[in-house]
Amino acid sequence: MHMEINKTLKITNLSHCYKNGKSIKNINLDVFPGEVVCVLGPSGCGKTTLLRLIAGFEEPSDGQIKIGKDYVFGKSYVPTEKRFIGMLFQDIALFPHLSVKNNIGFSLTKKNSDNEKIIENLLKKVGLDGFLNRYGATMSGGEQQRVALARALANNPNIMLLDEPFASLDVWSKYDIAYDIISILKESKTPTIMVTHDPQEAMKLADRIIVMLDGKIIDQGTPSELYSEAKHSFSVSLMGPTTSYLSKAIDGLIKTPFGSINIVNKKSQGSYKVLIRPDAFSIASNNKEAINIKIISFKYIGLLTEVEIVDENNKDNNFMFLVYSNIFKNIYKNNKLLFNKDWAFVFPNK
Amino acid sequence: MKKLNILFVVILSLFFFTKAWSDEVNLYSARKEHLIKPLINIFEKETGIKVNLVTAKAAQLYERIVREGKNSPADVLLTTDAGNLWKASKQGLFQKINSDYLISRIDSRYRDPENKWFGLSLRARIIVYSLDRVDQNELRGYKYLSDPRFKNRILIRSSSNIYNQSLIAHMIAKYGEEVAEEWAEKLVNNFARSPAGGDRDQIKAIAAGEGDIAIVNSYYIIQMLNSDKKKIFNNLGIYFPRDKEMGVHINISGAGLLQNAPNHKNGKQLINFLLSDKAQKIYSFNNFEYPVVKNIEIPKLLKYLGNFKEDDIDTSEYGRLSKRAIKLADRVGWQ
Amino acid sequence: MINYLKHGWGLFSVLLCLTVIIPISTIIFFFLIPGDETWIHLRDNVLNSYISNSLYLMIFVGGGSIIIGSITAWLVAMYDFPFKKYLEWLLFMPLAIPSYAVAYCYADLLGYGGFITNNLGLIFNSNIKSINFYSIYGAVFVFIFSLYPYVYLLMRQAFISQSSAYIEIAKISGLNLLQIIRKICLPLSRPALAGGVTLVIMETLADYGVSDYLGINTFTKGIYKAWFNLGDITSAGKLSAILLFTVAIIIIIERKLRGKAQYNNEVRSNRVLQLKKLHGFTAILALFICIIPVIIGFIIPLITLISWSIESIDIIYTLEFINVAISSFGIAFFASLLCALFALIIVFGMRTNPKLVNPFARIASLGYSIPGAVAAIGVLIPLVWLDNTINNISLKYFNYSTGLIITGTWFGLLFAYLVRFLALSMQAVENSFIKISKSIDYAARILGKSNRKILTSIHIKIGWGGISLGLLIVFVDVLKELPATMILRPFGLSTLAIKAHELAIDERLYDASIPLLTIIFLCLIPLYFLTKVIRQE
Repeated sequence: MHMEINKTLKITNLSHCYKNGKSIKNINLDVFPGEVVCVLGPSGCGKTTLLRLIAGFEEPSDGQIKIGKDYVFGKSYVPTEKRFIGMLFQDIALFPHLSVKNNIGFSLTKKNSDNEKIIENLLKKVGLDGFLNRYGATMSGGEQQRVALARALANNPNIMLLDEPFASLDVWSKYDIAYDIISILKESKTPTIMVTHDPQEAMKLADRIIVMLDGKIIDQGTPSELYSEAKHSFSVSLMGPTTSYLSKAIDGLIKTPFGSINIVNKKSQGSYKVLIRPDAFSIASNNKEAINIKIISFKYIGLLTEVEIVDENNKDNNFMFLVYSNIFKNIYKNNKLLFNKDWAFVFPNK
Repeated sequence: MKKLNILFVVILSLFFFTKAWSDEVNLYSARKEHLIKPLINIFEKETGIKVNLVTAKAAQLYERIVREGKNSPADVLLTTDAGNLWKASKQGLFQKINSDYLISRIDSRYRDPENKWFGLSLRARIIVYSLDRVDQNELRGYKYLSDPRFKNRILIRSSSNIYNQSLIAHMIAKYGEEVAEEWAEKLVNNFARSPAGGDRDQIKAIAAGEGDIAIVNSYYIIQMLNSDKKKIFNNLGIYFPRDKEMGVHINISGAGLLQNAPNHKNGKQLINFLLSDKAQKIYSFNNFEYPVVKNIEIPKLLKYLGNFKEDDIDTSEYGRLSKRAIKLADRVGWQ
Repeated sequence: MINYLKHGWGLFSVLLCLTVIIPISTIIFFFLIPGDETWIHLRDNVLNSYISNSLYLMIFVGGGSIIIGSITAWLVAMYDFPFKKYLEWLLFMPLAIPSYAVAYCYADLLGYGGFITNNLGLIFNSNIKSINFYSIYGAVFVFIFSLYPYVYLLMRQAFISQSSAYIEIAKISGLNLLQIIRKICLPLSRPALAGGVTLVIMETLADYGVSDYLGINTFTKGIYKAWFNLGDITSAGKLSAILLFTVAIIIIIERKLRGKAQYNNEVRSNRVLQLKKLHGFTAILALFICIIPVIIGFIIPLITLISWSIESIDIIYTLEFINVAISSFGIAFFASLLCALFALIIVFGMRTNPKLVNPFARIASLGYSIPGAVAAIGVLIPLVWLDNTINNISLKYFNYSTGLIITGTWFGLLFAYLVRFLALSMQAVENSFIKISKSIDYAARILGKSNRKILTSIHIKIGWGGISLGLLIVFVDVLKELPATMILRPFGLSTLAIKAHELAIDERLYDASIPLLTIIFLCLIPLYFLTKVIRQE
């Protein structure tokens, strides 16, 4: 049994370069016991590479990887087989020729009379009591992934790596299974890195989210932090619904259909992109700061409503933005709304 | 899995130890197994020496012996063509056998002048023809076969066969390369069909009416006349080609003791045996070849064919000129 | 950071490849020596006919086997008709009969006094006394009907496993049957077609028995002639190199045609194709089309051989033949095991360390295209060198002459078979491993297993079907092999193939039928297992 002190992951200045030029540079990352960290980004951003480096399938060109007390890369080297990692794959990869029992017991090499019990306990933990002698081919994707988790846990991993493990599960059962798996991992205090391209998954499952783009970490934070305080325009768009507005800065002021926004550097010129969350709009009761708008059309899409209004700054084009549907009901009545600049993020438009 | 490994090792080591520790001799034979087997069986019974046999085409055996080098286990090399004997001798593969017995048994024409190889049997390359469509008076020597009167009438096997190569070599030796090439070119023009099949197929083709004249080794037609199917060959005549310049083309099958023979005494014994009366009789009665030893009894059919006049060529010419013969055949398009 | 464990497997694989590559490069080495007058003679006089004959064979045999193999595979995969259950496995039975045996049979049947010519006269009232089978047309005929099963097997597999979804989409889009075949089924089965045809062509080019018997001038013939008759190794080497080069091009074309097809089988998403039942005329037509190749390639030769064997059941022969049969079986068995062992290690090495192992593995596969006799010589030269070295060392230190302990024994012959047939085993193992997703490898490694354990506890167990197929194919091919065996065999070892060939060349076809039938019988055993696999599907 490993003590909690071994259940940490520390990555320092990690770099790697593929022959085709794609690379990751200077990645630093810590994961603590019981934490679930999601690495989020588009395909090709390097998130899968990062996972493969931690697992030991590829060798970094620079940097250190430390699992628990041991350096598995950098100051010393430990091959994959001896790193005590657990991993879940997108295509699940249960051994088709082995039963559930033998899949889970795969890493239990020493013939121990306890092995049977360990396997049964793990099966119970993942909620598949009675599946001992089943085979993967007769099970659903969700059930198979649970077995894969039990198999990984049997190896007493110090850290868990999840490579888009829920991507091939169908939408209805996906989160049931996902929540179960994540909660089991947190309970065992095993630090978990999960790679995904789906912001929804990240928001729902992660304690902390790392956003990667072009091989670098561009943003980090809890889901709510990234939702409200992301530092990179890409992360903002990624983490939640946004409306985008392009404008020019004149004397430090950016004009929007909802008023002007100050930018920090008053002397800045050039074009800027304003990303606005629907949270920015609220009901204007009798507020002096209420803004009048002319609504041309709207479309209800569930939680949000798409609204088309006249843009004073741009007579030719109308402006479409997103607002919460329940708020919109009121806005529609009064043609007025309140704009909270805290929810508008300004980025230089390159 | 482990048990399989042990079994594997056991069986492999058995192979290593199958080297017989008994008296033996290693024979590399270009003569096919079922033809040499009867002789081998008698030898083994009489002497108690085990004969280890490898058969392959002469050229392949030659190559193998050369590659094996001085550690080659071969004791005796047996071939069915004089050219091959010459080639092996020239390469230095054979060692001399100084045996008065052997020297006295056969005529000097049928053995190497330096006693490095010894002929075992003879065969002639003769003409078989359709009695219906060919008048015996039309037939002369080999050279005459190029005459245009035989256009589309001649059947012969591929030039890749050693017997034809030796015949062509003979023609080169007799008439010079230029004349021989001209002869071959015209001969090809007289082919009834593109060379196909073996000697027996040429004979069958006459019976089928595909051609009128076939050039074959003597023992084939005799075997066929001796078989159950002899009715098919009723209408065929046999002719030993000769003219004023050139007698009948004969070829020798023979053997030699190899230079590095590990069992050279047994090898000598084997060669002696093959020249014994008993063995020679088998050659003539089983295979219908002509024995090289004088005064050996020959079967009725052979007697019936009568004597023939061999050409006086030194058969080592077959070997000396074989490469040129092959290239000549290529040039004239004799496939 | 050099980690030998990581590269260990790869290095070992490369080492195994090298043992096979050495004979191949020995041959090519001669290509580099400048040609002498013999080469010029060959080049000027016969090279063209070698090339044209070989091209002719390649094109027509390739084309014929594609047509027969694909059409029968299509009918069997997509439709149900009377006796289809039997025809499904009967169609690959010609693999049990060596192509040279087919040549012997038809040459005799169509020759003078042959069964077919005799009776053709009665049926068609013609005067044909014999049909000359000893020609390139005869060779094309023989190769097509004895080799089409390679195409048949692979295409059938491809048609069966294609998803019915594609065809249903096509039907909905209004395409008729011909269009569906042309636009969907054929492109999808391109890899299988390419693979099958490549096998057929390589077998044709490397053949010895058929061209020898029917008197065709092919590259193989030319190589033999140059090496053994003209004694010019350099020219033989050059011809071998040209042959190798041609085959390398064919293989490159095959890979391009295969495209980057991924074979990962997601069982869940594949719906099994519903077979369409045929009635009436179409059913009979399908039956007819499928049974003709079986009759020509399997039934007629088999019956001919059986009828010949009746005339020559000789007790003495039978006793001796049991000996020969056991030798043939034994060496084929060990050769197939050896090839499978090498193939498993090498293919797994390709999987774990592709950059290092792939180039060597590809070169090692070229051994398949080398004609048997050339492979034998290629093997002989390094083995003799090794033997002589061992002998010299033992003389020097122990004053004992070991003589030739490797050449002229089973090892030399097994080595030649390895060079010749490794590609077959590799192909079979590759095909079965390709279906195993890489994630399985990763999962096993993460769970603490070393490479060797992964190979033995997972890949071999999952891929056993394909691996055993490879074992069987090599077994069958070694049984039938002729030229290399003739040259390299140890004393006292004769194989059924050699016996049969010697007898046939000596025109003792009746006697040749017994060893031939034994070969066929032994070949039927693995093919029987193949039928079981097919019936399970």
